Amino acid sequence: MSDLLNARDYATLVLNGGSLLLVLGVFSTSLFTRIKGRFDVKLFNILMLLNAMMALANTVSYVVDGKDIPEVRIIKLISTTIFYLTMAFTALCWRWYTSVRFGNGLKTGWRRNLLFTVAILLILIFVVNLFTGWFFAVDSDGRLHNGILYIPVYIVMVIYVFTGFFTLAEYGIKKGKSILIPLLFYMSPVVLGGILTFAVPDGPSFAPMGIAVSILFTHSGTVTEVIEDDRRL
Amino acid sequence: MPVKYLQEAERGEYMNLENEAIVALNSNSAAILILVGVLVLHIRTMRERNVQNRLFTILVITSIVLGVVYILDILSRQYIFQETATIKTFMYSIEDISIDVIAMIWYVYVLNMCFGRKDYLKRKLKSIITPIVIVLILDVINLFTGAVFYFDEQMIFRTTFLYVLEEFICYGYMLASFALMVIYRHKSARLHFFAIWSIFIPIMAGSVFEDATGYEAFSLGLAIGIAVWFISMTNTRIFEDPESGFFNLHYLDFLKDLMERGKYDLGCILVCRFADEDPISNESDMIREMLPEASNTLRISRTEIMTFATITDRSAVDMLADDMEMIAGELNTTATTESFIRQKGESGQDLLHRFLSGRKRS
Repeated sequence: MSDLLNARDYATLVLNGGSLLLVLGVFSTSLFTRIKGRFDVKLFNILMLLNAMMALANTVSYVVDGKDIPEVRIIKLISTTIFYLTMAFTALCWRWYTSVRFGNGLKTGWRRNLLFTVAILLILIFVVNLFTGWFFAVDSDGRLHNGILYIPVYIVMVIYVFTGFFTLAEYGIKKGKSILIPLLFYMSPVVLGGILTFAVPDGPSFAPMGIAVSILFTHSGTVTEVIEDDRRL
Repeated sequence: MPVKYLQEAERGEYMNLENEAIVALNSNSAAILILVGVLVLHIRTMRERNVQNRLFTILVITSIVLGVVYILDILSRQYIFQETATIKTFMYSIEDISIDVIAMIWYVYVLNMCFGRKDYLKRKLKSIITPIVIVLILDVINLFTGAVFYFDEQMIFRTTFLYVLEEFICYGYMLASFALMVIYRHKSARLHFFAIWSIFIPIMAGSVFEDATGYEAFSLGLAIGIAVWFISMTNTRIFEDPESGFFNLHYLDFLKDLMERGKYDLGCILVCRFADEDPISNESDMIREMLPEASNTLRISRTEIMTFATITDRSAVDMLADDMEMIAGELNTTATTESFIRQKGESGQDLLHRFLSGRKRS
């Protein structure tokens, strides 16, 4: 196995395995939280599920990269599609979650409609991409090449991440400075993960781990907020 | 290429230091990131500076130190300079102490979950910490004498009999923890959660990965275990009254949920009103000791607690009420009790509904 896998593959296995464990751990603590049935909790659970899927797909996508194994192109194509799809849906779900948990819950029709339209468009793009390679293409060696839609789709994802971020900041400002800094702190692993992934192109993907750590911080912060509110009462 | 790198590669000690460094740097950096976040959140949410909270702070800091030492260790293998043996001995000492401290704190937590009395840890802490102090002294002596372990001229790791004793302390704590978990497995669901998520899955996964591939992943496993345990601790605090350690009113919703799912069969409710708040705030251990095992006690006001239990026998409930009044007498105060027992044909949910509507009316 050591001949087949290189350092980047092992680093990917460690980081994605770690993020999978972390998300599963946080998810299993919800058995103790007992705040079930709330829509924001459901969205948060979906975020965790998406992260777990993202970590799995990313691991497969990285490990088969450039390897001399049969059907490498198909495996790479499917795993990378799942990876980007989960990533895009994480961004949308994050926007929705912050809006429900910290904002007005996307009550105004056009915002919710836009979110659903973008989601459907993204699914269409990823399905069409399997045949056209407009978003990304995989060559016969299993190497990835970006398509013409790569940057626009990424921009849409970043916009949704940042609008979620602004909702969070708005909520923090409304509640006072004492809560704003911790809220921004929850987001820092995602930003760090994103920066590292772009800064080290030959390195492993840091995105699933960054999102998993953010999920951990956000969950802990949300629970802490409930406790703090009780104390004030 | 550094000379030592070549020597180690020739001996076949490390498969590929550059690769190892890349993986170790990634996994330890992720571990440190997680742990720093947990430390910040823990300090921010720490409500009282009790033994448990202090130990958790030490646990997180020790794990961060361990991650840093692993990174330094792996990076130092890439370079050769005269002090390597001394520096390596120093780093290995820190690594040893850190692992022992972590094992000790796990043990303390398991102990606390098994015998959850407020004063228990305070009384036992000295005897639990003593082996760590011995390890610390041994490691300091070792830095100057090599009495425990050392690196010879070829930089090969050598150990003495004292090293086996030192290792035994860590395994002793772990064995004691496992023994307690097995013996008291029926006592608490939290114990199972702790065992599964904080020790077995993440740490074992990290260790197994390390053994199978040779790449360092232990500290990331440890960090995940600590993070999940922190989240679990924070979650349980939602339902806890910090002063008495009893549940708060949030727990009532959870109990309702449990009853709806048929997982809790409520038999009786006992409400106890003390004349002052001292028995609940300061002597909750005395009350807790007297309560039946499957009961849940909620603090509903400064002077009032209510106990939910599965028993339906009138005489047993009366005895419990008498015990409450007796405890109040022992603490030089008075208490009045009121009990509600499930009647024939009535479900636990009906009883709770009857009780709550009665309270609303009053």
